[in-house]
This record gives sequence, C-alpha cells and structure tokens, in this order.
Amino acid sequence: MVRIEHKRALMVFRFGDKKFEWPIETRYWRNPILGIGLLALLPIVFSGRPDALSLIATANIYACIAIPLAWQMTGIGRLNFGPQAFVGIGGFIAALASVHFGWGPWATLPFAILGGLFFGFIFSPLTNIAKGLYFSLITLIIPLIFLEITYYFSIFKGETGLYGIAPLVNVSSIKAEYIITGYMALIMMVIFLFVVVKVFDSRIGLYSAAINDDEEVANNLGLNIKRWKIISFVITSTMVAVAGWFAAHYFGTFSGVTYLQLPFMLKILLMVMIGGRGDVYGAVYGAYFVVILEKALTVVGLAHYILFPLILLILLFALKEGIYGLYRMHRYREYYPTIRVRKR
Amino acid sequence: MDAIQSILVYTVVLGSLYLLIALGFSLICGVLGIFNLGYGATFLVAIYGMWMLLSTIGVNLWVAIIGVFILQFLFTLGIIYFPIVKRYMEKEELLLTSLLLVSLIVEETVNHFYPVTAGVDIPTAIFSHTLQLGSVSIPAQMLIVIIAAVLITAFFVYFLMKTRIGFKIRAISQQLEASRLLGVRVERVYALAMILSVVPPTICMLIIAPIWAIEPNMGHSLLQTAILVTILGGLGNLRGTVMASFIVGLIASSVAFLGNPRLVGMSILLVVFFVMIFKPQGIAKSETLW
Amino acid sequence: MKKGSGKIFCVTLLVTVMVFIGAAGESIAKDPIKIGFIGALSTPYGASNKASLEISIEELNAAGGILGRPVELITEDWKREVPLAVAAYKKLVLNDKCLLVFTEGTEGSTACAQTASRLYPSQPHLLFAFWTAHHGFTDLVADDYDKYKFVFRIYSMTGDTYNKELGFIDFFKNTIGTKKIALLVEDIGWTEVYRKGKAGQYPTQKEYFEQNGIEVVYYGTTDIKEKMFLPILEKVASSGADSIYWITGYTDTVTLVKQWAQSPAKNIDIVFQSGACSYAAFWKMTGGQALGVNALWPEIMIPFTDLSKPFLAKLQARGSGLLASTYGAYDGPWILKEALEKVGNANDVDALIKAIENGEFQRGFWIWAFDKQRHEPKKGYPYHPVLYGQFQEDGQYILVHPKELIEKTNPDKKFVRVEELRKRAGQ
Repeated sequence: MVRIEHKRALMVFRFGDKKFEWPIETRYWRNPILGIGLLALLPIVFSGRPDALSLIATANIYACIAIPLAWQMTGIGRLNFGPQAFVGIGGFIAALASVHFGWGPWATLPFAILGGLFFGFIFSPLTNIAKGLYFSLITLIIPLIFLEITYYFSIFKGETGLYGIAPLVNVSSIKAEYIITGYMALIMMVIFLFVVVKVFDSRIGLYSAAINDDEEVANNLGLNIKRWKIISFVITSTMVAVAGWFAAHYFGTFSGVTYLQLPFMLKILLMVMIGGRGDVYGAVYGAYFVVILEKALTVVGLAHYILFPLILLILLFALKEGIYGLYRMHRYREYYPTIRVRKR
Repeated sequence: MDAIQSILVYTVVLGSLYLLIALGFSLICGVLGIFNLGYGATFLVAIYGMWMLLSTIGVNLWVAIIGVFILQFLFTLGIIYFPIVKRYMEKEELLLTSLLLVSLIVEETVNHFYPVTAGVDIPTAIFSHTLQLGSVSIPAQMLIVIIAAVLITAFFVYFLMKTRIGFKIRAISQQLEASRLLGVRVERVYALAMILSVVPPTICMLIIAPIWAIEPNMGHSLLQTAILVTILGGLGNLRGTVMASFIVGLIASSVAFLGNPRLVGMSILLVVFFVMIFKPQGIAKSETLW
Repeated sequence: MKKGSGKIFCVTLLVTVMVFIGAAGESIAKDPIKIGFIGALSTPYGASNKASLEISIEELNAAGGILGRPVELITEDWKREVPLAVAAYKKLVLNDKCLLVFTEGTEGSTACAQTASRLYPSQPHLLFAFWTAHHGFTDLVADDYDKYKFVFRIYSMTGDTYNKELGFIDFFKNTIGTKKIALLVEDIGWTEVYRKGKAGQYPTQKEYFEQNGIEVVYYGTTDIKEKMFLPILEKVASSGADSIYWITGYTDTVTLVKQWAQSPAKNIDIVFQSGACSYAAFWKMTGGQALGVNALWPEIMIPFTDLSKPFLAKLQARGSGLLASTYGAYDGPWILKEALEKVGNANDVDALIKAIENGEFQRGFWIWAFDKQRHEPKKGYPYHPVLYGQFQEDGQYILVHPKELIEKTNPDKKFVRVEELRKRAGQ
C-alpha cells in the first residue's frame, strides 16, 4: 500500500520501508524524470501513427549516438568527426551475422558490442597521438575509408545494403510490434542517458572534466590521462556501435550509403550543437528537435530542402548554448565543457 | 616505358589540378588556422554565378568573369567571413558546423534553381583538341590548368614573401598575439586572406568546366580533395601543399596506370590516413606559410 | 501568472496537441482508393515520377476511377534517407490504407520491401518499384514467394542484358559493328551480376561478350566517385578497342563524356548503361561534347500508342522529363485499375496479385505482363523493350535500338559511328 504524506515542501510516497520524495514547488521538480515521462507518453499518444512511431524511434537512435558523443567530447577533450564509423561497425556486424547465420537481435548484440570494443580499442591510441584539429581530421577520414570498403567488398552489398536482417521482436500484430520497438528504442536511450549521467556524476566525470579543461594540469595532478582517455573513447564508441546494432535490426536493412556519408555525420553534429554542446540532456532535445523539424518542414513542399539547413543555421546563431541552454539559463550553471578543434 | 611516361605526364597534370583545388583552402588553414568547410560552396558560386550572369542576366563572357569574381568576394566576405568566421573564430565547433550548413544551403538553393537537367555549361574552353606528349595525349585545356597552377602559386609566394602585406600575413600566421600588439589589424588581414583564397578555385572552375561535370553536388568531392591535399601538406604550409598535390597526383597516376584505376580514391585516403597517424604534422613543417 | 503554472500550462498544451495530432490520423474518409508514392522529389527522377503519377491518376479519375471509386495519390518525400522512407511507407500503408505504393531507388525500395513484408499479413497491399535495376531485388520474390509476393518491379533490370529478346548483343554486333570492346563496370552493389555473374543463371558481362563473339580487349572496374577518367581512357585507347561499353548508374557521366571527347579515345564509340546521359539535356550539360554518345533509356518521345504524345506534352508542361522510370509511373496506376476491375473488389489482394500475374496491360506505352516467379515485366517489344539512343548533330537524340521502334520514331535516321559524326561536324 502506498502512503502519501505531505511535508512542508515535499510530497512523500511510502511503500513499505521505501521512500520516494517529490518536491511540490515546480522549480525543484526533477526534470529528467518528467522529461522521460513525457517521452514515454509519445509512443502511446502516437500509437495510431506508425510513421510518427518510426520517427520517434529514429530520434531515439540518433540520441543514442549523440549522448555518448557528449561524454566523449568531454572525456577525451576532442571533437570526433566520425562517430558514424562506429554506427557502421555495430550495424554491419549485426547485419552480417543476422543475414548469414540467421541470428536474432539478442544473438548479434554481444558481437556488436565486442566489435565496438575491439575497434574502439584499435582506434583509441588516436586520442593520445592526435591533438585538436588532427583528431577531428583523422576521425573524418575513417568513415570515408569504411565507405570505400563497403563499396569494394561485395559482402557489404554496396549501396543496396544488407537486407533480411531479423526484426527486433516478432509479434503477430504489427501495430503492437511498432509500439514495442518504439519503447525499446526509448529504453535504450534512457539506459544510455542514465549511464552517461551517472558517469558524469562519478569520479570519472571529474576526470573527464579535468582532461577537458587542461590535459597537462590533469597529468601533473597525477591523473593517468592516457588511460582515462582510452577508457572514455572505447566505452563511448561501443555505445555508438550498439546504436548501429539497433538501427540494423529496426530497419531490417543496413547500408554504408545511409550511415557513413558526411550528411549523416552533419546531422549528428547538429543534434549535439543545437541541443546544447557537450550536454547529455541537450543531445536528447537536439535529436528529437532535428528529426521533428525535418519531417515537419516537408509540408512546405520542395523549399524544405533549403529551409531545413537555413533554420538550423539561424538557431545555431541565435541559441548560444543550444536548446537546452534556454532552459538552463534560469538556473545554476553546472560544468560546461569546451571542445577543442583548434590547430594551435 | 609507356607506363612511366604516362605516370609522369599525369602526375604533372593531376598535381596541378589538385593544387588549384586545394590552394585557397590551404591558405585559409595557414593564415586563419581554421578549416573552411564552406569551401565547397566556393566552387558552386564560381560556376553557377557564372551561369547566372551568362544566361539569366545575359552579359557577355568577359563581363561575366569579372562579375563572378565580384560575386565571389561578396559571398566570401558577406556570408562566410563576417557573419560566421569572424564571429566564431574562438568557437570552432560552431564554426565548422555553420560552415557546413552554409555550403548545404548553397547547394540546395542551386539545385532548386538550376537542377542537373537545366543543362548548365560554361563556354570557357580555350582549346578543345587533344595534345600529344610522347605516347600520352591529354586535353589541351589541361595545359592551361598547369600554367594557371604555376602562375597562381608564383603569385602567392611572391605576394607573401615580398610584399609588406604578405609580411603581415605571415606574421599573423606565426605569432598572432605579437602581431596584434605590434599594430597589425588582424581582422583586415584575415578578410584579405579570405578574398585571396577564392581566387584559385574560381580560376580552377573556369578552366576545368569544359572537362568537368557541373552539378549542384560537385562541391563535395572538390572539398574532400582540398582537405586531403591540405592535410598531407601540413595544414596550411604552401610549400607542403604544392608537394602534397604532386604526391597525390603521383599516387593517383601510378595506381591508375600500374594498378587498378578502381583503387585510386581508396589509396589516396589510406595514404593520407597513415601520414596523419605517423607524421601528423604532414610532410612540411606547418609553423610557417612557405 | 507564476512561472510554475506557466510550465504546467505548457506541458498540458503539448500533451493536448500531441493527442490531437495522434488522433487526426485515424479520421480519414475510407471512400477513395489510395495510391502512395515515396520519391526523392528534388531529383529529376523523383520529380518526373511524381508528375507522371499525378497525370496518370488525373486521367484515371476523369475516366471514372477504379470500380467507380475515385483514386487519390499521396506523395511522401524520402530525401534519399532510409529512415524517412521506412517511416513514410508505414504511414502510407497503415494510416492512409494505400492499396498500392510506388517506391524508388535501390536502398529505398529494398528497405521498403523489408518493412512491407512485415506489414503484409495485417495490411495486404502492393509494392511497385521503379528506378532500381538491382537484380537481387526480385530475388526476394523468387526466393520467398509467400513473403514477398506483393512486390512487382515496373522497371528494367540488370538481367536484361542477358535476355535474347532484347537484342543487346545484336545492338553491338550489327548496329554498331563492334568487334573488339573495352568493358568498364562501376564497382557497386547493383552491378554485381555483371562483375561476378550468377551461378547457373548469368555469366559475367565479360564472359557474355566473349561467348557471343565480341573480344573484350580491356576490362576494368571504376569507382563511382571517380572524376578523373583520362588515365582509363588512355588505357582504353591503347587497347585497340573499337567500342566502349561503360556500365554506369551513379558514375558522373557528364565529366566522363567531357573527358572522353577530349581524350585519345574520342573516336571510339561509347555506350552507357544509365545516368545523366539519358537526359535530353545531356547535350547542353556537356556543351555539345556528347556527339556520338549512346545511352540506355534515352529521353526520346516514342509513339508507342496514341496516348504517348499527349502524355509527354502534359509532362513537359509540368517541367519534367521522360526518364527511364516515367513509363512505369504513368502505366502503373492503370495496371492496378485493370487488374482490380477483373477481381471486382479492392479487398482481396491475393486475387489481385494473381490477376496481375495472369493479365496483360497496356496504357500509354508497351504491354505489361509479369512473370509469375520473379514478378519482372516480360521483355521484348511489344512487351517491355530496352531502348538505346544516340546523340547526333545539333544534339538530336536519335533512337537506335530496337529496330521495330526506330521505324515508328525516327524512320529516316539511324546509328552513325562517332568518327563519321565528328567528320561531318568538322571536328
């Protein structure tokens, strides 16, 4: 039985000896919980609109790329221009395993994770070798090489992409399936969000901030910055690979053309920028905003091809700290990371 | 023997072409220390600006060539430099994103008004025959590419090394704060560098239009070429850029003639990737412009 | 108003709006028969397909619709992004209850077919794909008929090359007079059958030429992003080939032709598979350097039926051109009409599929008949032909293959070798 008590500024919910407190005054509300609650309503609200469900899931997948990227930017003190390479790694591992061995999503997941870890580890020395702009440039080239590889080796099926990938769930009612997969995308996003928020609150978050502020000072203070940068890079890359795994099973097809090209990277980058640079919650806002804006603008006809980037550019100009910054303006400012892409 | 001859000729031809494509990008990288990801739009402004002046407004070729340079200067100062580059000099992540967005907007606008099927063609062919060089024959127009590359590079080097303003540009590229303290008006010099940087791509597009496709998404591959050459050349060192252009030309022609032409693109990417990893400063020292 | 209540108000408003939008999708009148189209509307193909479908459906409605019901076209833009195509497909089938959806592009059609196979059991419908020639696409139907039986391709495909009815070899041997050929294939997914063949079904393109007595003196694959073709053309010229067959689709044929016309290979006849070279505007795009270029699916008005010409006039009035997929876009809705009227009601999609498999249909162009295993159109005029055109003096696009149609289209013109064309033009 749940007992509700009213204290001065709190509502206290008791369930056995467990206690849950909720502040009454709105400005103390726990906004992440509210926000996620609102997002969790979306699949039910749009249960009759499979296209909207699909877009919501897409937004969640994008957010699952943008959230780890927010950690990565802080944790390695550099801007990765090629996160989509890891979308490709996770997606292709899942797709190849599913198409050739007939594996389901849960069988391919460990391999997508392993692939993410493996390639993350292979590329992780870059975080120590390459500084600032050089890191951005190298990571810019990696997906382009990967794209060439998908064109060259027929196992990746070039522009057609691999098809016939096992769906995430297999239930008889297609509408139920869409709602379930919509929630799966949301759950994945919430898990990512939870993990990264916890990481930022922990000692690792502190290390990340130290590395982001000044690597040399952090090093002199006795922090093994090389190790922490590699750890941040490998984990975030693996998370991005998991997003790729999800995309492959969600859409049933996976092609390099869709995920490895520059426009896809630009989209992810915009989500991070528009949402609020290097901010975890901002990445979610950004992802939803960009996906919804793109779809909503199609009502104006062909002009949306010009309007979409134009509006984003104006927003980039107008919102100094992104959409999330609008909300944060009124409250205490937590740590704000700097992103280094400068040559000198 | 024929293969070696072909490789030599094409190293020069392709090297000059890559140099023309990359020179402006490299200059910005050297002077301003930024990556001008809006550089792809410069090529579009050159070609479609020219087409607009020729067909829509209807001026003659020479007026159009002068007009297109003015248009380029307006574009690079009015849209790239003052609103974006100057504003976001210190916030490079915003700078790169907004520059990419600008080039996307330009591309979509061009596609809206002059789609592929509009049949855009610029009558700037000086020669239309082929030229026999030993066992190799190349379009005679490529000869102009080589000449233009040599002249523009020579002009840049002379301008940077011998003139007073060139001296200022070099000073800024090496010691920004010191030059500022000594009274160099940094913003003006930056603006000048931006103007200079659009000259090579504009000339390049005018010359290669007769042997190059004119389509709204042509900026992508040109920007990619410029980035690769500039990285290889050490991010903004002109001597390095010249060397890198011809190295890339050599790679492209040797792979094409001795190996499989299919692998040209991938081999350039791989070479640049490994140079970045093992010699991140590129093939030349990037502290200086020349 | 306090700040807090403002926030509550916002949240309430947001939820209300969302509920409203969500509910709006449900309340659509059930009366018309709906046809969906997912196109990349900023591309020439997307625009042409959209215009053709619109014209076709306007004419359909003027003729009384299907089974007395009006027909409605719903267009969605996929911007060549798979997530948008999949979302649009779900909307068209589940919300709009489209009976037939047209899809475009290789990756788009493939992704839509995957989505559709999951949707079909609960919401039976048809998928007509065009602007995708990848052979593997209809392997879906051949390999798993029950899962993909609703998929039909109303477009040409890579296997056409090997189809004797279409006279591909005949075009090279007798029309051009090829003895030694340089074969170039763009290296990407859809050309796999040309590069590697298909065991037991198709040889590689190279083997196929050689089996038919045409010597392949140069063979190479090319990168679709290639911009510098001069080294390749150099090698082709020194190989002694008298013709070039370049299998293109994504390759930049404008650059290629501009460089070909100024290369040592300029007097070697060149034939393309597809790309920008199919547009009539290609002549202008290359500044007239396309003289002598041959391409598949040329933008030429061919009077297949009395309806061909009026249709083209309407299409041009909308600013669109006649491209390879236009034929299917115009005829497609009429295939549905005839099949549906044979079945008698719009609810039995399985019977509708059978009716399409067993029927023959004709509207503006050729006769459509579909093979039962693969759902590919039957080939060879008067069925689905393959057309080749050549640019001649002053940019005239001349039909040069097949013979039956040349007589209808340009009886007094025929193929001329490029060397002769250049001589005439004084080049």
